[in-house]
Amino acid sequence: MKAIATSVESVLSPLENDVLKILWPDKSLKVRDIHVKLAKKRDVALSSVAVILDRLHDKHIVTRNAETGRGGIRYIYTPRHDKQGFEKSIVEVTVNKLIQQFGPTAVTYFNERFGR
Amino acid sequence: MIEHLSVYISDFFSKPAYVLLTLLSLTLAIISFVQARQNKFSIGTRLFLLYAHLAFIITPFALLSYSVGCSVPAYDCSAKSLIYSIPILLGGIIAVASVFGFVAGPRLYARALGAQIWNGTPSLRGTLSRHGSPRIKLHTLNTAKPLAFSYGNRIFLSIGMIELLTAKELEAVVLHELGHVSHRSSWLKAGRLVAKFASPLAHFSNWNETLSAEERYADAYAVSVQKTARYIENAREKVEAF
Repeated sequence: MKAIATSVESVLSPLENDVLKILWPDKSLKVRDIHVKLAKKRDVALSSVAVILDRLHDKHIVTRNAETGRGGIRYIYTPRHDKQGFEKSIVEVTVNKLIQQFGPTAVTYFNERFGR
Repeated sequence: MIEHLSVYISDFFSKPAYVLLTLLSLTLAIISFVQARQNKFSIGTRLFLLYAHLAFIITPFALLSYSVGCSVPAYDCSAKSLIYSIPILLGGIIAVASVFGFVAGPRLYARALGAQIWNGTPSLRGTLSRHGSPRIKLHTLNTAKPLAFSYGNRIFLSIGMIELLTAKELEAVVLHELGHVSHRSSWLKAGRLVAKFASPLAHFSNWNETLSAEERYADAYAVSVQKTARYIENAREKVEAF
């Protein structure tokens, strides 16, 4: 049986995880700001950060709004949940999937395991 | 119905004048098509040849419809109606294609994409005023994917493209698109699209070579203004890395 992923690190790629770690405390950042912070830790191209943020946006993990500044138009990325909220959403999705797949067996198991 | 059609067609081919005109028209269609693919001609000449090709492709059908029409007693089967019907039919097709492709097309396209008018950064406005024309409009596309293209006098840049490139790289991209606008590349693309629907020969043509030549011209234009290939190459590398 496949191991069920529940930790943040196991459901996100290492770069996605690093980007979120930067976003969570700062709440809202531009691609370039995230790139500057990330470049201190690892060798990464600006386009790679942009790809990761676009992917996180597609997965509904972050939201983005276009903002016009002196240098042109930029996206401001904001995480949908804080770290705790994100972990909770992963657990919720995983539990829902288990119930969907195994039905009463999964519910009985949860009752036995957590109903004590 | 099919029986009638075969009678009309055999009637059409029994008249030497129609057969001669059909053969002449198809020969001219092939010649104009082959010439339209030649990069040595200007875009205007090539577009003219492309539409001439379409006109010659359609002519046999116009002749056939005229021949069928002559079988109906109520139809005006004089030489006058033949002379008028062909140019009216072809002129109509070209007019509709031109209006939708070149006049209304860019506006409708911008609306369909949800593109927003953008005034550009101060440096881009300077570039546009020096190398473009007041009719050129910048639009932004709400996507993080780095995209840039032009249609008519409109240049489309995605937000992803704007935030990924430096000011000089973005200028190189806009100059590249200005190269397309000045060379009327999108007119050729639109003509090619019309030809694809109307001409069977267009399906056997390799237009990628023509498009590559257009891209090389647009790059050369950006390089000639910036006096270096560095920025356009950097921009391409960043876009390809996405």
